Amino acid sequence: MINDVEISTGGTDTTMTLMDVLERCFELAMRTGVADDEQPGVIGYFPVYFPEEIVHAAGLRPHALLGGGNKLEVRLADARIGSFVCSICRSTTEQGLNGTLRGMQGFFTQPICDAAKHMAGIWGRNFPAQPSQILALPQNVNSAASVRYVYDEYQRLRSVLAAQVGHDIPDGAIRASLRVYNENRRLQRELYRVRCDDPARLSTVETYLFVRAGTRIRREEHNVLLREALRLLAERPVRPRDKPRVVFLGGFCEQPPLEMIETIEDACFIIDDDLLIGQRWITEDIAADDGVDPVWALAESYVERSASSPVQYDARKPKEEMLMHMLRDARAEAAILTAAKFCEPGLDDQLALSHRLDAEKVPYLVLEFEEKMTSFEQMAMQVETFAESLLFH
Amino acid sequence: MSVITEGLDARTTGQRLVNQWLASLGTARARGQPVAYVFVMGNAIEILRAFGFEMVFPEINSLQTGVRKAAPDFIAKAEDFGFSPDVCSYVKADVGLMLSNMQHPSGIRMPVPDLAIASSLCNVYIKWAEIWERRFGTPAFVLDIPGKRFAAWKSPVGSPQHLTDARWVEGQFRDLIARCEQITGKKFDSDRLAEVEAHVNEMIRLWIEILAFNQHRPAPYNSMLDGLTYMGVLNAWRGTPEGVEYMRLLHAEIAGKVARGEGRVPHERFRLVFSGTPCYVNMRRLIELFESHGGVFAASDYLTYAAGGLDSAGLFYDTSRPLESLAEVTTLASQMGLSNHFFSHHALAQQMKDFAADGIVYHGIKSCRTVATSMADNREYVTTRHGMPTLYIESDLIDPRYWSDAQIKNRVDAFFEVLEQRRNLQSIREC
Amino acid sequence: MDYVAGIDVGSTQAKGVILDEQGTLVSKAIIDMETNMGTAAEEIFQRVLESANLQASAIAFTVATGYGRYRVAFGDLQVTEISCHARGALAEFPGTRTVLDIGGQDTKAIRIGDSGEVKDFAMNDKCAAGTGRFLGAASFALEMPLSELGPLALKSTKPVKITTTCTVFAESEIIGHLAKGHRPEDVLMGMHHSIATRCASLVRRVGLAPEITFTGGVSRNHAMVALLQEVLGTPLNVSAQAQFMGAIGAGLYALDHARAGRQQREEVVR
Repeated sequence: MINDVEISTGGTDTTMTLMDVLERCFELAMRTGVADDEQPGVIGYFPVYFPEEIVHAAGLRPHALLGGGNKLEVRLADARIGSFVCSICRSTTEQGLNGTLRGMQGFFTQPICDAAKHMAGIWGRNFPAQPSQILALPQNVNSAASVRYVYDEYQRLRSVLAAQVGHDIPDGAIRASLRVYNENRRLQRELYRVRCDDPARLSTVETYLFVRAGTRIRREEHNVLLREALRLLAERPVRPRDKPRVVFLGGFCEQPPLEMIETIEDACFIIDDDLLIGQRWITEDIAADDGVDPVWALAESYVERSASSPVQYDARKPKEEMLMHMLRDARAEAAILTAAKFCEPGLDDQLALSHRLDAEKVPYLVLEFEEKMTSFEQMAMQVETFAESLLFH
Repeated sequence: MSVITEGLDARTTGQRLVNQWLASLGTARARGQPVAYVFVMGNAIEILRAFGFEMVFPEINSLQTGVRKAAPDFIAKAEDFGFSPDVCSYVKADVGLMLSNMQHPSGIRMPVPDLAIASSLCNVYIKWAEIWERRFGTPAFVLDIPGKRFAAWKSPVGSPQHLTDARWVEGQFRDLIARCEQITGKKFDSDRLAEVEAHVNEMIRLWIEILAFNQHRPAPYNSMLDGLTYMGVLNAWRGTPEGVEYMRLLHAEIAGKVARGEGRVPHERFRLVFSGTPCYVNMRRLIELFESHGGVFAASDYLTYAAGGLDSAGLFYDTSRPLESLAEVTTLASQMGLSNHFFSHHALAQQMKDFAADGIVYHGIKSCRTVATSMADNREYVTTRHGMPTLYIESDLIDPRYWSDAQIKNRVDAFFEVLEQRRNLQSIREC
Repeated sequence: MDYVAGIDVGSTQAKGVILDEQGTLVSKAIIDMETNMGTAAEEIFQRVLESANLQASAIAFTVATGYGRYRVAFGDLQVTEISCHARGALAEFPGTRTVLDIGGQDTKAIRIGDSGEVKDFAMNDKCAAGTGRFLGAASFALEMPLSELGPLALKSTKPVKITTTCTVFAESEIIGHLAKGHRPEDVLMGMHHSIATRCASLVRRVGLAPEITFTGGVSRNHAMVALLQEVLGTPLNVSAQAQFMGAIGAGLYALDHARAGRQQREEVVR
């Protein structure tokens, strides 16, 4: 049963407009800090995917660490992190050093790449009061033994959290969390479906804000917000626009600035993307029935029913095929292939994908970005030129 | 057939072994031998040997392009092909090799693989294997070996956590065995695996002693010069009688030096620990900069990683349960040695003590985030917490564009001035 | 009376000093670098000798420092400019425990122990951002001499944030901001801010311990001094001899050796 939670607008007025919801989501999405007194306790996790349900079942709030954006001044982290490293590692360290994240009660990172693994070492040396560790999700999900391993690692996480909160986390609590998150993922999928069917009705920036807001509040509250958003979207008056339909890749970890997404949307409809893909990592409902081991169900979903990214190897999901499917499902005519600066997995995939698109004669634009970019004129020019070339294609 | 000739020293023997190995790679296809591409940190060489695979080490191929001054050309080919300048230079050198019809500067035409094993101990290995998937059509076998989760992580042998992780690794080994049976048409021979492991056990024993020999004063070899040669042979001949022979020879020679008080550096003044990888394009020069001041690298974390963690599990294979034991030891080697990059501050401080070292030299690598990401933070911690003098220098594995002789020399000279000043102060205090 | 010499052969300039037995500065000279470091060193040596009215035979010991220190044929010893800057700064400001040297080509942060020994150092010599060269880009873009940059920057009321970390792009970013209508002093202050932030990072890497002495050519820029004090949160010592700090330090090392040499000779005589 999902608890109805009032949208915290500061009152009992539930007649919000779509603009109200968007503003609320914007405010939430752009929050970076974790205050000392936040209740319940907060567990921060580095990209891409994290089994939030287990944290949620422990009565804690999982907080996705999404970097410092383009308003953060990095002063302290440069002395700690090598120069040829992506900005999100630097800005997250900065947020630790400047106290922004002092309210966190734990820090997890995953073996998505070598720089991310280092975050555990940095956190442990600098913030010993915040227990930090690697959740060792496997890079091999193609073995018969994969589910069992993920299950064991999730059980380990469960006992770590249980020790932290001072009580067991019963199966029933995890099942209840699974239901909340299943609903949440369904609502996210619905948003993406609206985008795909009617891109003039819902922009990518808006979708992004709706999704990102969920990383700052309890999922129950987010579900209410999303349901409200969908209801209001259905009523939204729409002005038809004619822009090329494209897909966007590269936002799976370090996040591009909103202005960058806006710049692209000025010229194109981004129908599908991998922005914050970790939030939608599990692609179907996870079995939450009594009598089903919920941790096993969570582990099995990770292995069998999940999305794809450059930082999770899966022999069943060659990146080129995944992109071609994405283009087809989105009825998109082109791809925007981006990578964060110094993101080795992203850069490698960018090249492989562009070769395939060359072979398929699908137009594409290659861009590099940093979360801390503030000037977009050059990018706007490239995107405009690209969109124009699509119109003449 | 042993190539070990009686009466030859370790160095010559080692050279011959490496040459023989390279030559056999060149003829592998013609002889109908299956070929495996493996990485140094995390592989299943023991299983592959049991199936008779020829072993190609792309990391060794790439470092050799640096040593033989062919790297700029290969890297340029890769960058022209579209690889970002920021990608690992080993990967780019290998792409250059692929674009050069597999013609390696050693004179060998490298065979394409039937099997590629990429461990999770360096995520770039996996992206590298994906390139082979596309180039050669060789499916990657990703071997996930769970590492240390945090700095104080302990995984005592036989503990529930150790066994959980080892069981996962064993499951993957079984998948690998099935793949090898498919490729070679041979059935897995557990006895053969046990045989190979027995050889590795002897190599482990000898390697641990060789590493410990450098605790003597003066240090008989330079961890970051001589050590590199030892490792080349050790990796290529791991699990073979020849590999054991070589190490016995080497062990005896070094033991002899220790007995005679013979040091690598004629007048050893400072003993140092090295953290990071070599700069293969200029390693001799880099070491010279230190040795000219009487400085020797008594220890390094490189000899742990690049020897595949031979010294780190603290265990030998139990040849009565070869597959299970392989999984257990591999898991421990990963957790106690090969994932130390991320948490190495304690291990380095321990090495400082064990080897009575005067300082640590950190060598950051522009294109390697595995090595370099948190080096500065690690260094800050070690310097502050342990009050140890440290030096930070930066270049690259094999890309000569990142080597600046004057700048590096400047830093090295200044570091020795620091060490001298420190020593003078200490002797003043002791007066 | 014995004299000693300190020669600092850098990549843009060569500097020389002569000190007397007490370590007092007797003469100093500075020239722009020529292509041949050896002849530049010879020239600077001649100039300080002339200026002090001394013959070369009067110099008991010479220490050479800077990138060209091994090209100084008449040098008795080579010491890095890290040790020399530390020594020079400490001599002028005995409370110095951290030195920040921003030169035209590189920047160094040096930690000094209580006995004057160098404990740690960090350098930025690969990337021009964070060195005087970044200001060089500004000087070019604004068509103003370097010496006028500081005073103009100090007039800024709303510094513009400079995001580029690459000197190569700095020029076009500056022109872009000016085109948008930002005032030159605000853009300039933004540049200074950029440098200050990077240098502060370098200082933090070696550990910030008071007192901090700021040396090198850029220390003559008042805007830079003010900004660094703000960013580091502590006052800075600035020397009138900032450009000669390396040479002075070299001279002091030369003095150590000259004294030790004389003591040895005296012991032999006895």
